[in-house]
Amino acid sequence: MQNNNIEYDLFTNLPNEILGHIVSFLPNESSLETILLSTRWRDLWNKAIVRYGTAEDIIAVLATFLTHFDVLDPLKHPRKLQFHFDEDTVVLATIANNGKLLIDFSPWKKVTQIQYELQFKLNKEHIIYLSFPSTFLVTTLYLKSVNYLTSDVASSIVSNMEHLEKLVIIECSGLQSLSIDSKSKLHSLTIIDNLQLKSLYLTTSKLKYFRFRGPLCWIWPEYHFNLSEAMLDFRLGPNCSNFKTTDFDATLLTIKNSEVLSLCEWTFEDLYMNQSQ
Amino acid sequence: MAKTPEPKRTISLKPCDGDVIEVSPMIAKQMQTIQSFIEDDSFIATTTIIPLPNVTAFQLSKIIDYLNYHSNSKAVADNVKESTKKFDEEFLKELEHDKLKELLHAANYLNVKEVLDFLCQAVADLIQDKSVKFVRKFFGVVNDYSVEEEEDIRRTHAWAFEGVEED
Repeated sequence: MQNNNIEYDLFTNLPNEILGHIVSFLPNESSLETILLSTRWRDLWNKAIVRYGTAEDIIAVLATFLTHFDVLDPLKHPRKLQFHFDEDTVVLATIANNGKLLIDFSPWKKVTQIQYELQFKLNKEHIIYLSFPSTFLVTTLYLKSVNYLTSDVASSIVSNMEHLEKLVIIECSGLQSLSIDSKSKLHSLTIIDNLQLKSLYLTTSKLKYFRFRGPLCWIWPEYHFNLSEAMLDFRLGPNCSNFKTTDFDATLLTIKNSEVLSLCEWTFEDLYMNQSQ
Repeated sequence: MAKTPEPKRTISLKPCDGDVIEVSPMIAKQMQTIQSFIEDDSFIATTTIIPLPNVTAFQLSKIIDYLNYHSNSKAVADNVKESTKKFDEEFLKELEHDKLKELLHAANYLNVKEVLDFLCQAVADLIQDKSVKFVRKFFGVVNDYSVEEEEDIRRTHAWAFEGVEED
């Protein structure tokens, strides 16, 4: 069809700046959907800044990267940052709409699995650096594939994000103990597929939404707080053999008044019903 | 006393179809492409006709209309907002999708910021909240993703689309 050819030519001939210009007029929660149009659009969105440095530089590099990103004109500056540090280590930071940031530590080389712990203190008094920009406030953070080599860096990044409302922690192999301390903003926490996790300490009095998938671990909710939605998927069973049903009592107190509660069958029968009897 | 004839004050633009169109320097100035012609030393306003092989008479006159209206309304008070809005709406109403896209092209070729902004906004308004399929069709984008690539892009961006309504 000739008509189609003309149309095709018309838009393929438009320079990237014009496409970027059109995107800048789209509402920022949906503009990223243009990435699904074709490989050309994908390449526009996937441009990345590559930087090299040391682990100490990471906060400053990340801060500069976030400062340059223009929410209203998202194709103007890359929304991806690839930072190489400490020889073979790479971190990939990706910005998405509405204050979302993904920090992916997936190693490029195989890393020996050594157990480690993470401590996130999201309270103002703990902010050491004040270099994160106010132009792009990270309210949702996805943290992926942290390992023992990158745990310190991950902790210092997260602990600088005082505006964090939602935190998602995914596939951190070797993560044995996780403690999260946020007294003000954090209201949503998702912990998925951290297979070695044994202890989870929550000092998160404002938490409303809690989702967990992975083996059952010890959960210590420091204060009693009521969730409105809890989804606990312990399909993989307990993480250690000496887990007693009473070890789950504190968690039960926290989840049992949720408006929405999802549990898998064994958790419900063995832990929930047991306690209720 | 013989009067010297008024020097010619307009710029002559020749679209790829139709006759030469005269525009005021003030309008011509807003077209960066024309402006660079005018700034060229060999340009003589009285005789030179600027050929525009990529722009049709229809597109050119639409762009001139837009600029004329907006530069005039700027000079007046700010209670013209309503009528400007009405003008813009009418302006777009007369354009079918194809014409709108062609006009965007012409505005890009002539490099008229004001019209470009306006048209990009219009395109954004048209495609916003529309399905990927619709937008592809609108842009004439050929989906060159392989099935695996498209799945991959959806999977790796699932986190970014979380909380955004599906189309």
